Amino acid sequence: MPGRKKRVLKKNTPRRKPGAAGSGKRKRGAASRSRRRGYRWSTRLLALLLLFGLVGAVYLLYLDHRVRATFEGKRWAVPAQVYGRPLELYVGAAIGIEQLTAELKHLGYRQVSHPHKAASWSRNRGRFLIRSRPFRFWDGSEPSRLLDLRIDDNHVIQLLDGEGRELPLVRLEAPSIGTLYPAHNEDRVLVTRQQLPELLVAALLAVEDREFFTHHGVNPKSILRALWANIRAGEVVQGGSTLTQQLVKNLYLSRERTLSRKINEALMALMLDARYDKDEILTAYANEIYLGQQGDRAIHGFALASRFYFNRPLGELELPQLALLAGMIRGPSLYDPRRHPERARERRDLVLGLMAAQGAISDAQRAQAQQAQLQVGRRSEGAETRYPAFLSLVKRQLIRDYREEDLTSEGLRIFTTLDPWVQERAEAALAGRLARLDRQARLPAGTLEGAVVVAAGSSGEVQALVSGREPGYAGFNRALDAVRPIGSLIKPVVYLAALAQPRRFTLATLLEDEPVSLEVAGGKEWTPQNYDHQAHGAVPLYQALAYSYNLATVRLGLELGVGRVTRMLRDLGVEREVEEVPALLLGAVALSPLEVAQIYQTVSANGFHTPLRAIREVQSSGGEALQRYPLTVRQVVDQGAAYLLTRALQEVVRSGTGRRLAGVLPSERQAAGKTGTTDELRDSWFAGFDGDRVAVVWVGRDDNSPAGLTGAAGALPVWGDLMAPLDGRAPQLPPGNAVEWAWVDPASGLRADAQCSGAVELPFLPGSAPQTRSGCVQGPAGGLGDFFRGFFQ
Amino acid sequence: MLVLALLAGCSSGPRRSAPAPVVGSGAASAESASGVQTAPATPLPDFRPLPRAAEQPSAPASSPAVVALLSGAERQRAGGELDAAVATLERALRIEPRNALLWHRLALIRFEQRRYALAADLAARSNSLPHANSSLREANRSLIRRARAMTAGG
Repeated sequence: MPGRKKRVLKKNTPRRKPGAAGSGKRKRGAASRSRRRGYRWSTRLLALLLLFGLVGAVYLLYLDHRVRATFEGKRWAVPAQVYGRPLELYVGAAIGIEQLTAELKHLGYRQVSHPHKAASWSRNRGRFLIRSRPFRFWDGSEPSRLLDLRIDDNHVIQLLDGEGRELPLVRLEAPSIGTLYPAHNEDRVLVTRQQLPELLVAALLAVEDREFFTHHGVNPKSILRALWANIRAGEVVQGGSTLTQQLVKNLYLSRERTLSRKINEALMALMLDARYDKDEILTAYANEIYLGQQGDRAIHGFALASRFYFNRPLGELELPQLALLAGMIRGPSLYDPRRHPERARERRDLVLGLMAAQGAISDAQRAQAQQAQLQVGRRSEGAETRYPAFLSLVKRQLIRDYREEDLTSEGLRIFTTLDPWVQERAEAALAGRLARLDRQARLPAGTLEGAVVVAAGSSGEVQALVSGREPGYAGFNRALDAVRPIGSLIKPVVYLAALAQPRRFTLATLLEDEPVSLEVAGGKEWTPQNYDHQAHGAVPLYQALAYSYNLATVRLGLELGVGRVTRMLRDLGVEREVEEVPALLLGAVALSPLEVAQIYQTVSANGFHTPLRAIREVQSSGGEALQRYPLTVRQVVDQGAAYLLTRALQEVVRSGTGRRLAGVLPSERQAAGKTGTTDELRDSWFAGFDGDRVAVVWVGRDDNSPAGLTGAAGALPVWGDLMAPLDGRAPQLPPGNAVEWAWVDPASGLRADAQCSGAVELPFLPGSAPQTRSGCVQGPAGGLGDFFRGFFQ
Repeated sequence: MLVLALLAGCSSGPRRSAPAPVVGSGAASAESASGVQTAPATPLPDFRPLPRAAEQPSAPASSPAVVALLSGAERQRAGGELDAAVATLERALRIEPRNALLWHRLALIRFEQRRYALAADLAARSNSLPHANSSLREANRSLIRRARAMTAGG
């Protein structure tokens, strides 16, 4: 725009020049000639004036066109607003007092003695009274209402409305978790004239333009007043610009301080005022005005500023906050209430004083408001970049369906799956553990990095995504982009490929954990080792997985064929191309934490693959549903086989390499999982699930040098810290007909009795339990006789 | 009403059903886990079964929240708002992901929307849950058969 403007001005200059040269011609003498000359002169002058008039008219037309085009067309790119999942309240919901309090704070609800106004709440022990805000969801609106809710033992035990009637289900509004603002970094939330609080308008006029409703866009009186004030002060202390001029400056003009710009500003302000009514201009001003900065992100408009500074919508602000916002226009960084609270307070009080002096508020109102605290929210509360890692996942999923410019300009409302409560547990677990692990591994503080992905097992909804130890920092997104060898996390895939063939393999099948050596590409020999450098002989399949034996796994994988394992990997949801080499069997395949989470999601859902999703719905700014991202499932593995694997993964946690979790999680949670460690301890992994969530943790170093941690020492404790405070049930059992149970002797893999020493009861796919009885079985029905009976049946 | 009666019979109940007892688990302490990834000195003595499906306590009726959503979804479906009904059932499934009836209703609506392959998988998912009563099981099987026939037929 400025470029175009400059070109137009240049066009004018050469036309002015001949006129200026012409006026310098010398007089020549005689009267008649002078009369003729006078005549010639006046025609020339007339022509010149006409020319000027024409050029001026064209220029004015051009300015008018610009004023109209910008003002009437879409003036602002309104960034997409991104929401987290709304909290569902119902009797039986697993929500504790601490969580509910945190959720209410996150929504900007205020704790009061009695909630008369929307967005406020009170608490007496486990009883909450909440006055909710109305909210427009994709599938209808929740009205504002009074809720009477009781929590006991971390569960909602009663949910009533204000009249004491039972409510089956209420969802609180969806928490705002960010915006997708465009490349020019202007973030804003639009308001209409009706949404502008009258006290804000009064404050704005008092401090910026008291004759706004009577002047014509430019106020000569105010300019003179400002001039006088500046002369007296010897510096620029006051501006004489009207709101209309300020709006013109922000909307159309560059920031340079030249006379020509000032003239343009005044002309366009006059046009704007002539063409549009005051309320339209005021609304535009309220949406355009610059009110702060957070890194790259420019805060525009009162509505966003209200969220940014007070974590509340504009409509809920009271006189002191409104006066502060109006006061900040003069210098958003100078009067930043977070950085300069004293200065901000003085400025606010000055605005309040002006308002009282002009009769907009009473003296009593002024005095009371001047007593108020600033009430600024914590920076993180108004920050729209609180979950940058998750937002980048959202953006990647959206970019498949939308153009970038629509995402950042159409005011879309995006409802996502982020669960702020789970997210904060995940962030705390990672940051807390990494600090300890740095010390433990004798590394300089801040060396280790990590990533966490948490998803709902059944629906595949991503609830939390942590991309590093500083979650607020939008840098390298390790959860999505740290593609690292997964080590033993691959083993469950190998074992599932085996268990899917019940006639060949069961949990009790004895595998040979014996040295193995094979020729690989380039004629080299590959001789894998166990972690303890020992061979363990014949071990039942479930134990080989529980103790993560490499030799048994390689032998099993070779017997199955590497191709079968890669096919299983694909079935479980890995889309990346994977090289079919024997080293794959020990995890020589690099995946991101998110991809690993997809594999374990399918296992946790008993073989039903559901693509991990971060978005539920997208709505237009007008509230029309544009797109849903629905729940889909695809059965990719026999559910019985998936359950057998789950059972073996539970054994990893109960007695195998993951048994450190036993001290952290209650045994009835029956968590299932797998540790993963790569060469020279470069990557430490833990992936696992309970009945409700799948979670994957990676810990390592960005430069890929050794971290000095096994999966059990690094990632596992993070996983435990994350899952322990979250409510969760045991993994889902399949229905009775999918598996059958039998006692076996693990040493021989043969059928046993419950009384046999060391006997274990294992699930089998129907018809696959061993029939041969081991020697320990007593009585007439046991031993060899039974074997032959089974043989001849 | 039929829907509600079915629901009472087959839901997996609210999230806090009594924890299933596990005998002898949790024996491995954090200390004993220090020697990670090494072989156990002795064979594991107590690999006890987790409770079988049949032994799990029979679930109480569905929560009022899910009952309300389910009847809402029914109304939407009857009014031809199939997408809205899908969204409502998904909301219910977030609350009770193990409720076999919810998966079944979702499968039916997807069938109505002619998304046959998805309908068959959703019905299979419903049958993958314990507590699905025999009539619900049969309804799922029949739905799977019909859906497969539709996909096979084009």
